[in-house]
Amino acid sequence: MALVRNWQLGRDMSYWYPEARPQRQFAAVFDINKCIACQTCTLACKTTWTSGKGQEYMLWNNVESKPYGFYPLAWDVKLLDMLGAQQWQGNRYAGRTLFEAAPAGERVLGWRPDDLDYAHPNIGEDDCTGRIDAGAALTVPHAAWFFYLARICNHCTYPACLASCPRGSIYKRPEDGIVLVDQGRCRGYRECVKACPYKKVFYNPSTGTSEKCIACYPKIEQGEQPQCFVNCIGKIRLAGFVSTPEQARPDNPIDYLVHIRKVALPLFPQLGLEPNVYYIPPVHVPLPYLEQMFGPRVGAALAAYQGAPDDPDLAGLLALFGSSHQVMPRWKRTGDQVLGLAEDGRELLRVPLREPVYVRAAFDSARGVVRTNVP
Amino acid sequence: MRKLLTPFLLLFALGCGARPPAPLPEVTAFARPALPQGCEDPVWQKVPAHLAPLLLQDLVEPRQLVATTAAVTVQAVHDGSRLAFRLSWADPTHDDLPGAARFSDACAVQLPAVAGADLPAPQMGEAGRPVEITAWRASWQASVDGRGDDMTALYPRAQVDHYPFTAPSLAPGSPEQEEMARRYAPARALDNPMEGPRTSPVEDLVADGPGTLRPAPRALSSGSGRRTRDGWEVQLVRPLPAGLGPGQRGAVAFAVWDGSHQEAGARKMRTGWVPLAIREGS
Amino acid sequence: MTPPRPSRRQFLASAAAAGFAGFVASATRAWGLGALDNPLAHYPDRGWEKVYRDLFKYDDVFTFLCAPNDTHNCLLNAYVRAGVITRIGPTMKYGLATDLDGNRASHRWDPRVCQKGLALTRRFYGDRRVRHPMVRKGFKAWVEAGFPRGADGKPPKEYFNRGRDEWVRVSHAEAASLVAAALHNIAATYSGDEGAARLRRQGYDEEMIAVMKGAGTQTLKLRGGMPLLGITRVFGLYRMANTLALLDAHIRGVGPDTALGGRGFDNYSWHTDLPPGHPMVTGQQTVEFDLNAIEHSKIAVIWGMNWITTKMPDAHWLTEARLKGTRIVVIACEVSATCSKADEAIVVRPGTTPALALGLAHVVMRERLYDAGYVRRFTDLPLLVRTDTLAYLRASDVFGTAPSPLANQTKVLVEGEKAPPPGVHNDMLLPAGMRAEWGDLVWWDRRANTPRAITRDQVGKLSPVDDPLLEGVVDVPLAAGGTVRCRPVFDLIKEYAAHFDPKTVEELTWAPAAAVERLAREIAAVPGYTLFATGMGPNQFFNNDNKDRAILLLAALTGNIGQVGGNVGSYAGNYRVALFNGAPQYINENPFELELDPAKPAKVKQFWRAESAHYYNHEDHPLRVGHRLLTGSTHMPAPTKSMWFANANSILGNVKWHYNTVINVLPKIEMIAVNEWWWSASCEWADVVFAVDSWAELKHPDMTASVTNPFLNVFPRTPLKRIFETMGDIEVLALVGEKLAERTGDWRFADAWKFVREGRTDVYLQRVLDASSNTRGYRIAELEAKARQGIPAIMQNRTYPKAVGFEQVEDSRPWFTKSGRLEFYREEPEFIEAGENLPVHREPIDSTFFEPNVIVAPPMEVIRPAGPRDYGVEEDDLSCEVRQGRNVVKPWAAVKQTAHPLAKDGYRFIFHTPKYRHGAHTTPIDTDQIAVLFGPFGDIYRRDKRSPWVGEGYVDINPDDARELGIDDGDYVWIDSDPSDRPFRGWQKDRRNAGFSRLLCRARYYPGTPRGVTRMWFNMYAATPGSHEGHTTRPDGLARNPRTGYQAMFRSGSHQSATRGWLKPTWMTDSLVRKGLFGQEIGKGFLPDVHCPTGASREAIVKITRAEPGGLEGKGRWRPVELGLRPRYENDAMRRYLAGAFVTSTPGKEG
Repeated sequence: MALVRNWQLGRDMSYWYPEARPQRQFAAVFDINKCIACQTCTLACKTTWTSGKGQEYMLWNNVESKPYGFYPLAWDVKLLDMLGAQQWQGNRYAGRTLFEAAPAGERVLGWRPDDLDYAHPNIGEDDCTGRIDAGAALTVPHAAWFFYLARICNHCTYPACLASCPRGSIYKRPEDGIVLVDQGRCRGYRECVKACPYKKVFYNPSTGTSEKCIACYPKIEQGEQPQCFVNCIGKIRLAGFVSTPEQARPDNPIDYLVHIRKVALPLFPQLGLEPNVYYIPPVHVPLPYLEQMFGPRVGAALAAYQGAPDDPDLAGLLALFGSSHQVMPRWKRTGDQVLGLAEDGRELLRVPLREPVYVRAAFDSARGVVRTNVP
Repeated sequence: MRKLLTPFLLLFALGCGARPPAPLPEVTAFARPALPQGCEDPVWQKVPAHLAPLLLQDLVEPRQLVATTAAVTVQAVHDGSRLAFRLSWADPTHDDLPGAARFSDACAVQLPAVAGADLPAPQMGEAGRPVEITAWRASWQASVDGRGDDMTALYPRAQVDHYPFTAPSLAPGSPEQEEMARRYAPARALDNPMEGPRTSPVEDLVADGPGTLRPAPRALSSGSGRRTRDGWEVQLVRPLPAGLGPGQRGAVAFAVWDGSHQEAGARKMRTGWVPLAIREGS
Repeated sequence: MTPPRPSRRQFLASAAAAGFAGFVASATRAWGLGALDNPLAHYPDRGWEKVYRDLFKYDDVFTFLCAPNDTHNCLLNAYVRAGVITRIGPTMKYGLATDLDGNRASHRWDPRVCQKGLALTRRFYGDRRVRHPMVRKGFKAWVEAGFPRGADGKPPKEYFNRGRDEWVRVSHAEAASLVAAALHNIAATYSGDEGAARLRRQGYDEEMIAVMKGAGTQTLKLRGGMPLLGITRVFGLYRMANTLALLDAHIRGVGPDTALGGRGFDNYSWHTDLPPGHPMVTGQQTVEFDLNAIEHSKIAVIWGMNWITTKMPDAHWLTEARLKGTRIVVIACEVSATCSKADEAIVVRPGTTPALALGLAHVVMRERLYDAGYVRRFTDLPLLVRTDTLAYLRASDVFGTAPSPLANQTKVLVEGEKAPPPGVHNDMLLPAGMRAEWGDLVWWDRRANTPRAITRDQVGKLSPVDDPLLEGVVDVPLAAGGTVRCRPVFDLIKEYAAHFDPKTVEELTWAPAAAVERLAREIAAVPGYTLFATGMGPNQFFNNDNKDRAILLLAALTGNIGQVGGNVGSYAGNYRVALFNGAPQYINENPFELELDPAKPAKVKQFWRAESAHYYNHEDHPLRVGHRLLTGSTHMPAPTKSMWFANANSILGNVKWHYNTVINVLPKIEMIAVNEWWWSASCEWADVVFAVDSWAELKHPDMTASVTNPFLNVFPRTPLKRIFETMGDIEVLALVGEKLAERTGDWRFADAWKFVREGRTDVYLQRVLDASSNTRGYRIAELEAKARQGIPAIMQNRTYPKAVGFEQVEDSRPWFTKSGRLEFYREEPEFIEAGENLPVHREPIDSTFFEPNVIVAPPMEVIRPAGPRDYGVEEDDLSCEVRQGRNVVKPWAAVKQTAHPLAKDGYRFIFHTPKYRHGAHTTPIDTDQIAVLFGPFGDIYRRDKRSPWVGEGYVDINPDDARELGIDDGDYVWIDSDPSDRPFRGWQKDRRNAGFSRLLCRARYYPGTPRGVTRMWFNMYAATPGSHEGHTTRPDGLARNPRTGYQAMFRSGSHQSATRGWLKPTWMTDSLVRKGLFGQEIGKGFLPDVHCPTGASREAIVKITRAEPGGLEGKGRWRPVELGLRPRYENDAMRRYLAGAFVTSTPGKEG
């Protein structure tokens, strides 16, 4: 065990290996307020990576309706219950991480889903809390609520899967921090399946090895965003690279949202993995549930997000989401135009904050024809 | 269900799991002109056995902290160049089907790569002092015995509309079609056949420390196993280790995995080094 | 699939050498303990990473257009490896689309794709793909036996064992010959007096026989499902209907003057997508706006529209508008998916929209919050209505003057003058007769205290209406002497709307009174900046026309019709064929004078007749109540003897009242031919199935456009080799044309498809482009070349985003009505007779806890409908047929004391069937990867033998209702609707058919649905005799037809087991004035997809009974229930989780 820095916890914590951050860390921001649970991301991933035998049940990317939706069944409820109620003191985590709570003989506190836990991948779809007896008028925060949580591997800074593999067959790529299971060396022990709190490592019974999200590294290597990002029609996702708080740059779109404006938060930071997918929390959901899921910064994040109407930079950056297939490591806004830029400042994308209105002449004299909205 | 079984299982293993008390204090390989054809070969009836009690694997994480399989009965013979073991143990649950949360029953025999009085660490050897392991898995045995390479073999009512490698525009069995199939099974594309079609239920492995286990560059062992009324019988045949011939003594270690307890890798019941005597003549 | 292959290691074993030892040292280096030092920092050997790079590679990529009936039209990239499409993705090039003037769309339109599009590989290659033409054994035998018939003309039953018969594989040519022969024989059989006599013997309605005018071809019904989705290949069915005039000529020996073609079924209205009240107020099909318009609104009211599930690629416009400050208000009958994006979500009782809209209008009128200027300039609200005749007061009555000439963008056609082709219409064209008939109207000038005439020219800036009497009564002196008591439309509506005060609205609609008042004030506070996006929820109820009239009223009162940021839209289906208003160049080309010169435009004459498919769906007869015929003569259908359709599963496989249709209506139909590429329930019940190309295999270009986005899209020809023995839809039409030519010797049947045979379909497309007002200037070759790169073009609509009504507001162009204004009063006799001269609230016709279809109104001098007795039926006759024409008026106080006639028998659940995110209609719901994610019961490994498929149909029910019925979450339940006619008339005495048609499905505890309201998604595949046979006989329980492979998603029945065909008199008038389908010419009465029946597919009251426990194989409760993870079953951990109790927070040192 080593002592490592986890900025999401505001403190050091113990981990199986010493801290070693990659040159660049793959990261993403998901805006939950825009997710429509269409599952296009799920199919984009599935048809690209897991269309083989033994992978039928496997969703490296899934979207579940919270709070009654889970894939696999009860993945978060079960772990939170095992870990027990924990405490935040301000932005400092005073509770135990999965590494600190590991029982004797184990490297990580975890559990392994039963075969049937994977059976109903979209259980709870659109189920809301509370009860509706007759009519209702729900205002923010909604008294009866649900929201959609799109999930991929978090390519954690301190992956539990990596820590738990007795064979060291799981590693983090130094160039982008993507976490991979070596398919040539894995022997299917499934320690990683047990250890990953997000349950994003899956056993393939047809090959006998464990498989997981690879952040589409063949695309990242080409400067392209992963399949589940490019296919996201809710346009909730932006892929890039996140810095540590100390190195945050405002012209890095991920840094801007995570470190500067602090509108995007990690999923279950208290578990201690320093996950690298950051979520803009849903504005219509009560705070206690959100704090349990995203930590103590939720209130501030929601306030900042709700300020977007008067905040062209924030609103503008959010307009870049889903508008390009390329990774845009830099960005800027000029008036009502938002630009996605390459590292070297090259323009990769330009979109307007508001789609323009064009009014054509009622009679197109050049072509001698009427142009009408009621043809 | 697993929980309910445990006490019963232990009782069962200690009680009637082993065959008539074997006098042999160590594993003794008797010389035979020919090795048995398999674990069901009557030859084994007359071979005295050694009952090896199994210990918890509590040396390295992840540790096995709950005792499951109590003991394994070991018989051994050799023909001067090859060494055959028959391992028998009690296991009321028959686990040989792969699945997301299903684990296979298994066993293994471990010998030092280099014979000698100075033995490597019993748990997978140590740096510079490798061990050789011959491993058998029930799920591999099932594949050898004819389980289909198809989801309905694992889930009888499964229905899958399409795999890219089953597209009607690809001729079944054509090189393109087989390439496509391997492509969608990355471990197979890398010749890491932990599951899937097999021609042998055993695998040769080498290791020189925990976590270093890897397939031997050449597969030299063979074997077969069968389900008995109350457990498993497995025959494993491997070359006599380098420097260990008739009349000489060495050491051997055994391990057993109970799939119903989700045992795999380091989560296993195992022995320490057990003396191994290679008898002369026949 | 692949045979066992020895791995490299096992192979080497045969080359056995020494022990392992020799290898150890060397093998050790890479993987010694050192290697495992810290995988965060270092990994010894990453060579293996190549496998995923290889998996991602592709040999080729090509573009195809995915265009089911969802309006999105996505150009998609197909990635090909070893000749197989391995995956699909968006082109990301909508941001490169431009129009003819260089205006550009932005990349915010990208990506355009969805999960259903990505799943298409499974539809291209899957086992239910129609791989070659198929013919039903019995049908083939009937044709080959020479079409034997009985005395009444009916074919012998033994040839028509549909749904259970065997199938025979045939060639396309053979299939085409069979179809041509049948078309010929059926038309001949029912032609002339003998044909009419046969139909009479078969019991058809006299009026239906009369409309055929002796032409047997009129019994041949054709349908290209939503023709906008394929201007040549789908619309081609109507071109085929037109060429059938040649068949009539051949059979009856008549000439072009009297020959009649086939009949074409409607589409938009057939799908219950048409908002029938829009033409009643605006005189044209629908008011709508492109969805990106929401960025320019301040409030968006998403009304009965599940935007984020049915408009998925354009959902981001909503969420992005919201994050930039647009207030999102969702009105739904449950906590719908879209409610999760709402700043305010109002949950209401299904089918009460007219009352809610009237209630909102009441607040606006009561508090005088309306946009007075808009009301004066654009609406009929200031116009006077005579309380004696209930008609508008005419200027001629008061001033004795003749109608004034019209000049405002209007031309009155002189008697006998023919209108030019639609594409060149500029002015609105009024037939002289109609103009004279309407005359001018009257408003009361308060300042001068005098009546004033107003012409339909005088709208918008030209409106003289400055200080009109809006409230009160006037006695207007008549030219002929005497006076007449008149009231402004505003005054009548205000009096009626007052019945719907907030408290009453809360009782009736369940919308909290405070929310109603708040919303009304919010909308009125920003006149012209509220978008009302209304959906199918309200539209699929019997009162849908009143719903539209009331919503448009609210919108007009607040200045929200025809502005970019303030408008009304009604969303469902891709309907506006008029986007290509030059389409008649193709569909109506005169088959007697075909233009075979590709450079010349076609000569147009329409020989086919349109009719609503709702009569076929209504047991093939019009609506008669007592002695009254309530179907207008312009609407009258002909008997249905043959159906041939393409791109349309909704006309049969997923038809409303499906089981009654297949069991009681189909036996009267002699041929059913289907063009399909996936074996749907329509194929199950057909006689001939033509195997056609999927979108990925099209070898002829085609084009489409959309009502929700500005793009003009081309289906490019694709390089993909046809996977199976398929043909393009349009090639099938050409082939049948050839067979008809051979059979009749009239080669014009074949010449009608000359350019298809020559691979020059683009000729037809270019003719349409040149003749359409919003596409002229585009070249099909250039459009296709761009489409191949994944880039669409932009429609030359008047505005981007399109806003219907823009010209009316901006150019003061009259609406397509008598008054030139938005008309909220309907003076036509049909409306007065129905008690609907005002927009009223009728209770739903079946989905209500109260007396069905009753008009909720206080006693009012202008509501004077014809009651049941006037039709010769009993006052209390509430049988389904009579109910449709029942005009009974009661105030709310009385209505709330009533009950649905079946309530006493336990039918107390409203059962509605909306569409969901997992399907575009039924595409591609049953593909495994889609089905498994469709709701909570998916299981790709089918661990429960009872699952009909890897996903299955379920009903969402309020948990407390379920508990009362002893139903656990996940149980199987029976759902039964009105036993008098559902699932089909006569089921009590027909056990053979009752077995597969009674609805059996899972029940899901759904906390978001109110008590008494249940929901089942519309999209799933119905059980058929074959699927039921498979489910009950196969060892694995799969609901798959052993003969056809058809895969159902229900064990028995479907959501359509509970629905019915409904006809409403006000949908069927001969007098409603409306614009033609194409162009600016005005006419009246029936018009397909504009003024005709829509049905009411969410109208069903049901009884629900527990069938089986939900646990695996029927043992115990469903596992997630047992584990305490479902609503109402939460275990302790789940309860704490919901409360967020797993973390506590205390202020940190930093405060």
